[in-house]
Order: sequence, then structure tokens, then C-alpha cells
Amino acid sequence: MGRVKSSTETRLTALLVIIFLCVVGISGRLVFVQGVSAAKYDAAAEKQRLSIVELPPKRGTILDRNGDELAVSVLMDTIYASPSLIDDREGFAKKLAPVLKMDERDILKKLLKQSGFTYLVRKTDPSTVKAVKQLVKEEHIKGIGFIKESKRYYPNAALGAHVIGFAGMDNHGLSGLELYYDEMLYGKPGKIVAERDGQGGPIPQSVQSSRRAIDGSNIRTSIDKEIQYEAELGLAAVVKKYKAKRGSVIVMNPKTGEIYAMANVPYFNPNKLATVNKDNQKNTTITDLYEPGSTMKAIIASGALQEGLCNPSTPFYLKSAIQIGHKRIRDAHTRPAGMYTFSNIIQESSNIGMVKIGMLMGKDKILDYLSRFGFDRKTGVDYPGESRGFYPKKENWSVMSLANIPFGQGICTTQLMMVKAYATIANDGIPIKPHLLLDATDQRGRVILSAPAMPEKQVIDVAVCRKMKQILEKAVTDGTGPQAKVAHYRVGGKTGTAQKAKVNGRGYDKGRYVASFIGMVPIQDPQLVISVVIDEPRESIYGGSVAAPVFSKVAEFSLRYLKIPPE
Amino acid sequence: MRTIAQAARKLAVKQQQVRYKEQPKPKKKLKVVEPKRRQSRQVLALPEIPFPVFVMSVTVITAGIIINVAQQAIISQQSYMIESVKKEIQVAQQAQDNLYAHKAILQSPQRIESVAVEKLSMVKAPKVSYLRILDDGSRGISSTGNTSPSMSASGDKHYVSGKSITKGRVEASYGGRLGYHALAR
Repeated sequence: MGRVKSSTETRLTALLVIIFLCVVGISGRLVFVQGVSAAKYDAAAEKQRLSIVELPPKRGTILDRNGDELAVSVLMDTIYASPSLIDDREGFAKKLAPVLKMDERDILKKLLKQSGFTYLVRKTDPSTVKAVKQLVKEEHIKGIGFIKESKRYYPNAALGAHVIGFAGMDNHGLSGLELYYDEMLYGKPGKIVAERDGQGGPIPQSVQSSRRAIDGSNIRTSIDKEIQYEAELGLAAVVKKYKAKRGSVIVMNPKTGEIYAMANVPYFNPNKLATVNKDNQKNTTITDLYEPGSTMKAIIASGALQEGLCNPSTPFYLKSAIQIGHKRIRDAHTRPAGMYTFSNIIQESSNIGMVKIGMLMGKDKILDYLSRFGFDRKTGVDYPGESRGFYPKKENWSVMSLANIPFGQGICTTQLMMVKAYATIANDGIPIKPHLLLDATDQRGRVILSAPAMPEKQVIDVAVCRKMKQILEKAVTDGTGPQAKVAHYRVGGKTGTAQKAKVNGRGYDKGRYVASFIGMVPIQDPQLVISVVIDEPRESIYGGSVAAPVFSKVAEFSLRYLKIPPE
Repeated sequence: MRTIAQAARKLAVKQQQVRYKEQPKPKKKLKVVEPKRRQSRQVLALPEIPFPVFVMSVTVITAGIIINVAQQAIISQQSYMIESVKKEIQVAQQAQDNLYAHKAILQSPQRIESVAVEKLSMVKAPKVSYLRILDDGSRGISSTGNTSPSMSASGDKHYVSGKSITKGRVEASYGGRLGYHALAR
């Protein structure tokens, strides 16, 4: 009897222990689930139960200064497929390829995905959608759907494309003003949180929270569509005529810093990005550096006048060539040796004369004026990817630096930097920050941002600027830039013909040049500063013959269009 | 006659009685408790509601329920209407966006130029003439040496090729936004 009793007690004890362990285990798990990992499981359950729908905002419009649309958002059709519902995927891909103008293999690759959803083509044109709908109807194909998506559209196609930039498939800006003002243009997406049933469908009346999408703001740029078009047209003609590699034009108001046009050739159509060479998408006026050549002479000469080292009639004896170190410097245009005034040196664009003026100034003063005119920093223009100017530091200067920087070699700037420097002379010594934005308005039309003129500290005297303007006018009337003349208006400007540095190795290429012209008009009260740069022109290489005519054409149109009266 | 057996039995009973009497009597520990009388359940006496009041109450409650249901129905209906109007607004906005885009295409300088050149046979103005308006309002000599034939000096606006420009002290001849003049063929 006693043995039986002992065995039962042992079993009961073991059972009790097991039950106890089970209770402890369950309790532990309970604490782990409900306490330690509560947040994790809560989130997982919520994710499973709730359906979050993002409401994309409408991207703001980019307008020109007169309120004409440069970039708008329109709804386009997107074609998608549910591969699991399509029976004959290979056959369908074969039929769809010519309609979508896509490779059959690419379509098949999408259709063979182990997914319930795949995009076939996004934001396509209505004719393609119509053709696909027809095909689906005729072939009784299941699993093809259509949804509307917002797409960026550029109604003027290539016009101002380098400045405006473009937005990607997700409606975020990728380049140009689209990128710089992306946050403002994009807006804020909205959200709807609702419960869904076991099949994933929404449960009616189950919206837990909803937030409306806030559409992006509209921005009004300083670009004038008509001036931009004229600049692109004139530039394209010259680039074609001289078989140049590329060309660019900037038209700016020197009093306000507003950029009326910023043209680049070759241009591209942002509506057809897939076919565009990426190199052509660059706005070289802001992102690329070049050696400005003789257009730099006016800047250094202004410094010499400001320092009182020379006046316009100061005489210089110039030989036909000058030896600096082991290098012999000549003028681009042959001229006899003799006496030339300071003014003549600029008019005739004499390199030898500028070497002498540079020697007179010394490196400290040259560096000072390069800094005053802003060549050691960015202009601050509201555009992404602006380059900083480059020239040797004081300790790295050689005799050659002192000789060649005054005539624009051994220094790199952007085209916009040169425009800003000339605008400083035009604006009586006050530099002004160039800008592309005029204002931004929200969807109710309220101005949320405006860009007033931002003048900087005066860097040269008014009297010096007046003298310099007279010299620049003579450079057009009696000097190297007669083709920049505009009928009935007084024009001042400077030509530039710069050799391009060798890509590999030291020195300059003899066959590659940059022809340029920067001028201001009307010279007595400049309203426009226009810069033209033609990269690697053939047949003719001189700024006076290649770039100056573009200046004249653009200036003539702009003056007439802006109703700036002749003198 | 009593038998011996009867006598013996009688004796035995007597002996038992004697034995019983000799034993000590047990103390009484238990009390006799009288069973509690069950309290009779009190039936709650509801106040008597007059029949008309009862009917009124039921009517009011029923009406309330019906009104609530009706309100819910109206709210749902209005919600659907709001959704429908929202969709209409969305469609209208889409149409507006498309119209803006279309307008921008029509206004693009490339298109205007192609229409001017190809359809209207226009050419760019060969030269620009300027007309100086003198202080007395009379027309002076243009800066090219000729009076501009295409401009009128009277009134506040000048009309050239159907376009108007605001009068100023000195005005440029203006052949439309792109500077085109009609070319008679």
C-alpha cells in the first residue's frame, strides 16, 4: 500500500512542476509580448490592419516674369499589369511591344515578375493608352490596368530648359530651378489612414485619420520667355554657322540682378529626356569654368584706374611682342610698335599693354581687385551646382601669373561671374547678386517669398566706372567690337578670344579657342549686360566676329521688347 | 396463565430498565432551534404608468430612433454628394491644368514663329524705325531719317500690325512680339 501511495505522489508532484513550468513559461511570454515587445507587435498589428494611402501633392508651376507657364503639371496615364492574372505572357509581350515602342524582352521581364503589380509604362501619352486599351479589348486580356499620375510638362519644349531643369518620375526636381526650389515646388503629401478587411480591401466608414495634400507653390522667375527665345535663336544660328562645340548667352539687368535670359546651345527637350545626351543638360554659364581672355582686361583696368596708377590718356610704349620669363607674349591682332594710351590698350585689346598695366599694379593689387569683383567666390545665384572661380594663390604666383592674368589667362571664371563683374561697372561700382527667382506664391495666390535686388558694398568709384564705360564704348565704336553695335543705341563692351588649355599636359591648344563678348547697353545708363560665349568656333575664332554679332542681335531685340528708348 | 417464558421475558425487560436507570444521563448539547421562517419575497411594486404616457414614451423613443437613422442616412447621402463634388472639382482642375498647358503651348514663341512664317507668310522686319514724339505732340523725324509709315502719332497707343504698345516719349516700331511684319505676296 505504501509503495503505491509514494508513486502517485511523485507523479502528482511532477505534474504540478510541469504545470508550474508551463504557467511560468506562458507568463514569461505574456510579459515579453505585452510588455517588452508591445510596441513592436502593436506596430505590426497596425500595419496589418491599417491601410495608409499617400496623397501626392500637385507640383507648383514655374512661370516666366510675365506669368507665362514654363513648367506645368498635368495628369497622364500609367499602364500597369498584374502578371499573375495574365495567361499567355509571352504572347502578350510580343503584341504589346510595338504598341509601347519597347523591347519585347523588357516587357516580358516585367510580366514574369513574381509580383501582383508591375508598371509597364508610366505617364505615357494618350495615343499609347488608347492603343493599349484597344489591344486589351480585342485580345480579352486580363490583368492590365490604367491609373492617372501627375507628370511634369514643359510646354515650350527646349526653351530655357537649362535654366528650368527637369523633374523625375517621382515629381521631385533633378536639375536647374526644379531642383533648387524643389521643396517649395513639391508641396507636402497628404495621407489617409483607414482599416482594411481580411482581403485587404478598405472597410467603409473606417477612416481613422486623413490629411490633405498641400500643393506646391508657384514660382515666378526673372526669365523673359521672349528674350530667352531670341537669345537661343541667335546663339543657335552662330553655333551652327561656326560649327562651334557649344555656346551660351546671359542677359541680365545690372541694376536689379534679374537674369532675363540664360541660353545654352545645344539645347535639349526636357519632355524627352530619355533621348538627351547628359552633357547637353548642363547650364554651362553657371557650372563650367573657362578662361575669360581679353574680357578680363576691363576688370584689371578698372583696378588700375581706381588706384590712380593710370588715366585713360596715360601713354604706354608697346612693342610687337614682350618676353616674360621663357615665354614670348604677342597680341592677338597684329599692330605696329609705338605709343598707345591706356584707353587704346583696352580698345585694341593689347595683351602686351595689359602685361605692362599688370606689372604696374603688382600682384597684391591685382588680387585685391579680383576679390573685389567677386572672382574668389560664388556669385550666390539661386541655381544648383555653381562653380567657384579659380586663380593662383598669392604664394603660388609666378612672373607669368602677373603677366597673363591681366589679359585673362591663368584664371578661370564662370560666365555669370564675368557678367556680375561687368554689371558692377555698369551699376556705378556696386556689385549686385544675380538671381533667377522673382517671387513665389502659394495656391491661394499669396506671396510667400520674394527676391528683391541685393546690392553689395561698392567696390570702385562712380567716376572710375564712368571712365571705364567710355573706354568700353570706344572698344565697340573704334576697337575690336564694331559688330556689337546696335542701331540708335550707344553700346560698350569688350571682346575676348582665349586659347583653351590642353586637356592633357601643360600649355594651350593652338586650334581651340573661346570667343566671347560682354557688353552693356545703353552705355549712358546701362539697363542690360549681355554676355556671349562661343566655345571652339571654327573658320573664325575672334570674339569680335563670332560673339559680338549675337550680342548685337539679342541687345537690339531686348531693347525694343523692353521699350528702352534710344538716346 | 403466564408461562415461564413470559415471565423470563418480563424479567429481562425489568433488568434492562434497571440498567438504563443506572447509567448517567448525557448532558444536552444541542438546542432545538426553531427553523427560521422564510421571509416571503417582496414583489417590487412598479408604479402604475398611465397608458397614454406609456404610448407617448414609446412613440417618442421610436421617433428618436427613426430620426437618428434618417440623420445617418442623410449624412451618408451628403458624404457621397461631397465625394462626388470633390471628384468633379478634381476633374475640373485637371481640365484647367490641361488647358493651361495647352495655352502655354499655343503661346510658345516657337509655335508663334512657325505660324507667322509658314501660315501667314510673315518675315522679320528688315530694319527698326524710331519715331520721336515732340513735346507739342506732333510727330517728328524718326532717328533713321524717315517718318515711320507704320505708326500713328495720335492717341495714347500706337498700333502696328494689329498689336498695341503704350505711348512713350520715344517709341520703337514694333511688329508684334517677335518683330514680324506682314509680307504681301
